[in-house]
Amino acid sequence: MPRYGMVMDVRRCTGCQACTVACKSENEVPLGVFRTHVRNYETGKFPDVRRTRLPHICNHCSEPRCVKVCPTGASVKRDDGIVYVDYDKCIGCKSCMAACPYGARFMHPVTKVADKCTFCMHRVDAGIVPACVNTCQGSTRIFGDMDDPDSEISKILRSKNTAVLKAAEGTGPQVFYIGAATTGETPVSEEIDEVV
Amino acid sequence: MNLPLIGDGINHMWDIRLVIDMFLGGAAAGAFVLAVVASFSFGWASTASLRKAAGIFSPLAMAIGLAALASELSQPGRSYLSFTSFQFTSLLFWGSWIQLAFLGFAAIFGIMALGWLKAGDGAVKTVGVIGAALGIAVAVYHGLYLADFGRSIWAAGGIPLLLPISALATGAAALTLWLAATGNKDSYIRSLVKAMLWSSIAMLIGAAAYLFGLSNAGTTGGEGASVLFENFATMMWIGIFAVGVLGTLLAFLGINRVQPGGGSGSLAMPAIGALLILTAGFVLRYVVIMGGQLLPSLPIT
Repeated sequence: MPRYGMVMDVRRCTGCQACTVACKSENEVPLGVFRTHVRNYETGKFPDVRRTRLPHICNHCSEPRCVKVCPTGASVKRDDGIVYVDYDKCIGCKSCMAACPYGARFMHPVTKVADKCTFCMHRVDAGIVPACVNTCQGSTRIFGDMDDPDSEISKILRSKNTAVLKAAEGTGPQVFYIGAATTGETPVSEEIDEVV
Repeated sequence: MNLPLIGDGINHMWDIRLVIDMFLGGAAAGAFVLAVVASFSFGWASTASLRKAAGIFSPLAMAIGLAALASELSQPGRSYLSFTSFQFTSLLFWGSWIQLAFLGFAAIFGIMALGWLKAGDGAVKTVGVIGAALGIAVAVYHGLYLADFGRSIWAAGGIPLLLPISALATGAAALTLWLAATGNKDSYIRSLVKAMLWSSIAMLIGAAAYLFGLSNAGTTGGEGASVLFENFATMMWIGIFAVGVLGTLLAFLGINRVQPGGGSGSLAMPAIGALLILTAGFVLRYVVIMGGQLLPSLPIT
């Protein structure tokens, strides 16, 4: 059984939001809500000002709080690590939204149920990478089976320093960042709080 | 100033209907527990009117609260799934059953108190004790439900203790108001006003301790306290503390005017106090529930 994860090499991100658009197109995500987007920050003080970026997505945590608090079992963690919402079981109580430390969930304005990134599991199950990975022009996003020692993501996780968002929350995020913690005392470094 | 270009990082989840649910549920639980405790303390024969008041108010308030909660769900037609899915790790699953069970026992208790269902003393006491235990569970559940999300405003300041105290104060206030409106002159009435007085004092001290504790609960707690003071300062100082202190003061000043068998105006001052204490209890829950949602899920500065 694979164990899926994603690496975000922030050094390669241009902030073009192609991933955001691809995700919306692939998953028919309505206006005003996002399964993924690239957050932009201005950091530093004049004249040493720079723009930094941080792509956001559901972290598909190994210990997902959203799954724990869901009263109906609508929030599910698959054996391969993908966390998704069973739309037919969601009552719209929004507990999962309150529990997620990453703000990755939202109420779908059309279907009126909780929604989030699924790592495009319909594509993954068909052997295709998620839409955001497929479209990323700078190859910022690397997706794959972390239990396969020959996969690109495994090699990166073995060879590079990576960090996760809000590690202190103890949720075990399965989305790893490269290069995001090198921006000094910025909002980004507040989010990236542990190098693994 | 550093601002993200997309989104504010804040998830707004619930509107005022959750506040209504928790306020009415808490008051219902507090009133029921007080009525049962008073019945054991002052004798079941002399507290029939109190049980009648709690027997009507508690299930009614709980039902209205649950209706508000159900209407807050974006898929209310599926709300039965929270009872039938048996997700034991979810506090909401437990809370759904606890609140439904309390509603059921409070309703049966009310039907017995109104004399629509003839039952022996033993049966009434059994229903009362089980209902009171469930009432305590409802009051505690509200706090634990919020604390479980790990947001500092809900988790770092003793909310699981503050909400049950507030439930007791608002429950006592609701009963006082009810009995004043119905012109009650029974012997326990003065003790009820005293219970309202002391529980509202505990609520106000608890609210102050909560804010102090939150402010001193490390970085995340301080962040939570800042959110409350920046967004709800006026509401807190006036709605909770000024109104709450005034209500408590009126209850204190009015106690000596409360005489069993006294004139219809003897409960006027405590009744106004009760109204103010109910207001303070509502505002407390509003600030806590809405404030917790204002915390950004990711830091933005």
